[in-house]
Amino acid sequence: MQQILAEGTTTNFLVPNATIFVVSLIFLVILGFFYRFIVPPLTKAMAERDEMNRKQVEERDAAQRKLAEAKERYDSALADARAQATAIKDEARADAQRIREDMRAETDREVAEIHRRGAEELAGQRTRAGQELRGQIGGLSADLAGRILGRPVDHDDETVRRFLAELDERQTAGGQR
Amino acid sequence: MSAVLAAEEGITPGEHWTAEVGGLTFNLDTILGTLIAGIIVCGLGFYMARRATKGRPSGLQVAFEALASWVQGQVREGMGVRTPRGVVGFCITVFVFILCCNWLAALPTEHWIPPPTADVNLVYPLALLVIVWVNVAGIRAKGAKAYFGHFTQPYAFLAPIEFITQYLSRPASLALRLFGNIFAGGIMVAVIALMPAYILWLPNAVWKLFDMFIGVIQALIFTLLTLIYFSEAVGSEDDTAHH
Repeated sequence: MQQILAEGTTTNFLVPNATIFVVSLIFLVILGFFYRFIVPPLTKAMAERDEMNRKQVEERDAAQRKLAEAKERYDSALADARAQATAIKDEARADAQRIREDMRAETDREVAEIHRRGAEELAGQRTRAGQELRGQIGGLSADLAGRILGRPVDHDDETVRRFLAELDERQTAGGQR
Repeated sequence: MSAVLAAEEGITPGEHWTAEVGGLTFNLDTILGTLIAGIIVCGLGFYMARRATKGRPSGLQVAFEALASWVQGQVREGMGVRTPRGVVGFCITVFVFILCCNWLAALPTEHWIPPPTADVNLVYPLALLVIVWVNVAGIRAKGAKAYFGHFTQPYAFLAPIEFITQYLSRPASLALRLFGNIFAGGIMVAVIALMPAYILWLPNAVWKLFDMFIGVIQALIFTLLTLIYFSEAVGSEDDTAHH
């Protein structure tokens, strides 16, 4: 035990020796190597990445701003388009109403015209039929009188015409009364 | 009793593979470990830096960037525009280097290449560099009078304690915390090695995994304390505004 303690005292490991100069020099060389070759590229790459990230953040912010602006423009255009569509629909509805009324008026006019033409045609036909009947009534009356009398009666248009004229006058006079 | 057992089985804490040159003793294992750690971190860093891109980063670049972002965040919070030039790079280097040194403990080469952070010859100059640089940065930022006058605040009679804290406790704790944790890890491996061979692998694997975790934590603590010391020395932007 005493031998061990004696050995311990001969080599006090807390006391440095000449090694300190060598390892100091080695460390200084390592430090210089780091300063010269390692730290600058490392910090440069980090700074460049930070710069790149900053730019990306700025670009992202700009893109977001542009997106917001585009969305605003889109919403505005959409609102305008909706307003225009509403106006166009209102106008179309008004046009349709106007066209419907025009067509209805035109149809009413056409119906009235057809009615008028029908009435005129009927009046004309009635007149023509009356004239035809007046022309035939003398012969028919003579035939009828001959069948009643049992002998032929001469057909005299002038007499018949005069009779009919008297008959018309009576009817007219009766109608006036 | 355990010390006797350890010595009998060959646990020799603090012993190194040494060489004498001109009456000076050099711990060759520490130098070799430091060289290997340096080659690894410089090689990985150089490989990463050559392929560093602002586009899609590799996994290695992501790891370096995570570290750099963390350091930059701490610096920004603590010092802002008053950050001394080179502090970010120094903290990145220190973290990566200490981590790599600590993780050498995970290799089954503890007899030939122990983690160099388990030797005070590496941790002392690291802590010394931090403390010297912190003081230089503080003096440059505030001026010598204001910087040293700060030790007398709020009570002048506490200045000696503050002075001892600044120039003795801090470097000692910064160095010995790292050293002690990694050194203890090595002793633990040696103790585990005394176990029977059929059970040895399990605690050894568990301990090595835990040792890797300790390696990360210690690298993180060393870097974080360095940043805190710098922040205290140069002051934040808020301090400037208040003054």
